Formats: sequence, C-alpha cells, structure tokens
Amino acid sequence: MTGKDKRSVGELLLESDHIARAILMDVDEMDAAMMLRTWGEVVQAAGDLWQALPPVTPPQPLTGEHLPDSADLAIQQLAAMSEAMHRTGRGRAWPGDGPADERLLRIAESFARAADLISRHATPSPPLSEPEQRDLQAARTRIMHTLYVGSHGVGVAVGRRARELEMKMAARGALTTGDSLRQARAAHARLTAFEQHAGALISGTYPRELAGEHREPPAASRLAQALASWDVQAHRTLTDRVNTADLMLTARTQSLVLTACNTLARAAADFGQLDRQQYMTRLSPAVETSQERWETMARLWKDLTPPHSRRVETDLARAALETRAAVHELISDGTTIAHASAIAQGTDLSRIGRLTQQVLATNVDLAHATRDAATNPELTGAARAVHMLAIATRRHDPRDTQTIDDSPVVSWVTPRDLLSNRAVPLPDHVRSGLTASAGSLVDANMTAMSAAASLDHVSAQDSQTRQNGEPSARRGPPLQDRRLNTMSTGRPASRCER
Amino acid sequence: MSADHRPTDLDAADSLVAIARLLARASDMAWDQAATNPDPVLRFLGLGLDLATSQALELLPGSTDTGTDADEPAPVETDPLELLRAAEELTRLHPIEDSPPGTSQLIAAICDLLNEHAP
Repeated sequence: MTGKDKRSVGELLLESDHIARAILMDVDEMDAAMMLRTWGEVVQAAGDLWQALPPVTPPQPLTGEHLPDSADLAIQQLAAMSEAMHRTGRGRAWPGDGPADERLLRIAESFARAADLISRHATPSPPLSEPEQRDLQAARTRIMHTLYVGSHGVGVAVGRRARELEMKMAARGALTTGDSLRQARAAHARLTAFEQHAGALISGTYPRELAGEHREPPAASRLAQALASWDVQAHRTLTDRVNTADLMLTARTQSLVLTACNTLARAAADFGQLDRQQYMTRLSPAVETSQERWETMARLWKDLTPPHSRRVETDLARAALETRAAVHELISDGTTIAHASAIAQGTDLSRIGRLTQQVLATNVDLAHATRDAATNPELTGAARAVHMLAIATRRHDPRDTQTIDDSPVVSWVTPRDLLSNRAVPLPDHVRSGLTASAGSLVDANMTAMSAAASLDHVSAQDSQTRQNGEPSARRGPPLQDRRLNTMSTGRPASRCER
Repeated sequence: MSADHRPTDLDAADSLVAIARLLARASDMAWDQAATNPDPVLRFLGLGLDLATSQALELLPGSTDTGTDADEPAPVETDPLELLRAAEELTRLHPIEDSPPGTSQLIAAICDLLNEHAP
C-alpha cells in the first residue's frame, strides 16, 4: 500500500475478508505454488496486526502486564504452524522460488497497513468502552475468519495440485524437475490442520462477534434508509432463491443506484464537498465502468429470463420501488435530472462522500452474490437464449476446434424446449461465460470501491473558500487522521478505532 | 403488490396479459436505449417499467400463459413511452370490478410513470 491509502482499519479488514472469499471462489484458476509461497506472509502479517490490537485481558495488579487469552495463544500457534511449514519447504524443489500470489499479497498488505495505522494512532492503554471492546472482538474475529477462509483456499489449490501430481506419477512413473508429490502432500496436510484449528477458534464467535463491529451510522435520510433496506433485501432474495428475473431486477436497480450516486457525487464536487480532481479522474470513471458492467449482466439475465417468468419476488420489488422513489425524489426535477444547485437544496452534500463509500462497498457484496448465483447449479435460463449463448460461447472458445452446426438438432437444447422457450439447465460452457461476466463485474466494483475509499472529503472551511472563488489549500490534520477521528465515539483516539 | 388469485373475467385477464407484455417490451426498449445514452432518466423509466411488469404479472393466476416473443410479432413502436401509453389505454377497456384485486395499484403505477416521464 502507498502512503495515500485512506482506508480505515475496519475497511482494510473487511476488504481482506472479501479477498479471501473471492480466492475461494476462483481457487481452480489459482497456482498452488504461488499461493503456498505467499501464505506465510499473510499469516505473519495477521499475527503482527493481532499484536498491535489492544489487549482484551485486564492488567495484572503488580506488573501491569496483560496475560494472553485463549485466542491470543491460538494466533501464536497458527503463526508457529505456518512458520514451521515454510521453514520445512525452504530450499525444496516445490514450491521453490518464484512469483507471489497477488491477492494473498493484498491481504498481507492490508493487514500490515492496519497494524501500522493502529500503532501510529495508539494511545497508552486507555480503558476501552463497551462499544470499543465489542469492536475489538469483531476485529479479532474478522482476522481469524480471513485466515480460516484463506487457508481453506490455499489448501484446496494445493490438494488439487497433489492429485494432479499423483495422476502424472501413475501415468509416467516419474515427475518433472521442480515438482514434488511428497512436498505437495505434506503442505496439504499442514494446511488442513491449520484450517481446522482456525475453524475451531471462530466456530463460537463467527458471525456473532461481528455484530459489535463499529459502523458509521447511516445518513438519516430516506435515500440512505432505502439503500440499506435494498441491500439487505437483495442479499436475502439472491440467497433464498436463484431466479434470473430477480437477478435482472437487482442488476438494473444497481445500475440506477450507481447513476444516482455519480450524480450526487458530481453535485458534491461542484459545491466543493468532494475533491473535484479525485472525483473526475478516479471516482466517476470507476463508477461508470461499474454501472456498465451491471447493465451488461442485466442484459444477460434479461435474455435468460423466459418472457412469462419476469415476475420478481415481492419483497425485492418493494425494496427496489422504494429505492427508485428515494433516488427520484433527490435527483429528479420534473422529467429531467435536477441541477446541482437544486440537489444541494434537497440534501446535505457533505454526507455524499460517506454515502458513496457505503453504496460502493455494498455494491461489491452484491456483485459477489451475483457471481454466487451464476455458479449455482440450480440456475436455469430461457431455452432460446441458452441455445444462442451456447453457440456463441463455443464459437469464441479458441480451445474448441469443432465446427458447430447452428441447427437445433445438434444443439444443447431440445427442439421442444426451443419451441416453448421454457427454462432449461445451463450447459457448463454457458455457465462459465456467465461466471466470467460476473467475475468482471466483481473486479469493476472492487475498483470503484477502492476509488471511493480514497475520496477526499473537503473541510467546511475549504468548502467555504472554494465557494468564494479563492484557491483552496487543505487545512487541518491529514485526511487519514480526520477519518479516524470521525469514526471514534468522541473519546480520545483509541487503539481499536476502525 | 400482493393479490389473491381469484378467477377473473377472461377478457380482463387477457388485457392484463397484453399490458404485461407491453410493459416488458417498453422496459427492454428503455434499457436498450440506456446502453448508448447515459441519461439517468432512461434508467428511471426502465426500472419503473420493470416493476410495473412484475406487478401486472402478479395479478395473473400462476398458470396463465403470457406467451413468448415468438408467439406474436414485436410491436413496431420504438418509443417506450408510446408503449406505456398503449398499456394505460388497455387498462380502460374493462370496469375495475372485472379485474383482480390489486389492479388499481397497477393502474396508479402506470399513471405515475406517465406523469413522471410524459406529463
């Protein structure tokens, strides 16, 4: 991470958890050796971050020292297990030296950055308030969960590699230089042990402990409320049932939300409440790309929805209706979009930066939920669209050298299904194409979230200066410090501010 | 948006099927146009039409066949607002008591959309 990273400790932990989950979904595409090489850094950084957190046990009467609790001891055990595994593997043929896994590296960097933030803003052991203690427990749970999910991802990749080597060995009787079945098996066994240990630790705390995680209170407006309700309902619906009509409505609603978000952010930038340069160069392009990807997904879902099956789940429709109404109230003026000055009269533009960050964070989660749905074997699609997609996917697949006849006789969909255009299961390569599109959606949304994380909120004094037409110079403490303060509970800076 | 699915007059039900088709078609047009036009207004219209389509389908008994794209030719109209107006005209064909409960909310939603986009 560079010195310009403006994310809070909580955001860094959340992103790490998200990356670990994303790795799990893509683990088939990952290189086991690269993952294994990088995993040690993740565990080490997690251990360092854990050490930087305030102690949870009371000080000893005489010495003032804090004894470790069971979780403190557990993270030390995990660090020792990881260190031992890497010490054993050092100098061996496999995984050997080579490039690192970028996503695991990002987790390690986020942990290191979070540890640095806590250390630099720490005050000498203040007694923690009840909310701070709960936030601290949530942070520990989040770290442990990231290690648990991450170790599972690495373990799956290494296990798969071991099976490949076993098959090679069975077929040829020997392995190529640089491969080691014994090392792969040993690493897999150790990762399994690590995962089981981490899993046992969080089984009693996850996700219950996350309930105490510090969150900024939502903006007390209809829009913020509507967006929060929409987010909850969309997650609920997409988890409960897999239906292309629901997915289409979700994608289209997200597109509208992002349009609104961009419009509001532009107004805030025009009125000096957001850094205009950052908005123009980073945020706006990223949000536009994210919005385009949602619309691309929506087109796919639309094509895959049989015309007679466009009815969406009632609660999802209700939440989308309220979101649309709240957005419309804020940014519409008659039949057109309101001017920035009219928008400014209807809302507090100083809150738009935070709202944008919240929207783009939940956007990432919904993109993940969409990708989960795309991989769900129960997902079906309209026969004609499935047929067309199957042909198009095959034609564009360079690995497929066969000439595909467009006739339905040799298609993946029966003529009867084509005639009625009923919902049919998705062929694997159609599902792969959908999953790739959803993956692209996740990537675009991650970029947008990162762009929003670096949004520079302009102080009221700067804002006034800009309104007066004079050049603006930043005043007050650096943004990072201000953000940490705004997230505190009003007490002097605590070591576990998130 | 909830409704009980009591048997409804066939003509009124047929009208609802046609209304749902028109709304769905209008929505797809609005979103197709939005693909090359960044104007948020098109997205407001498209999402409003999606929700109205779902509302209309919810009024129909589950077994109702609303047909497929190939069952009848697509409307030649390319303006989603014109299709919305056509849907609104269809709502006037039958007395409200011939339509299933919940139809008045659908009519209100269609009129609101017209009022928002073509007052």
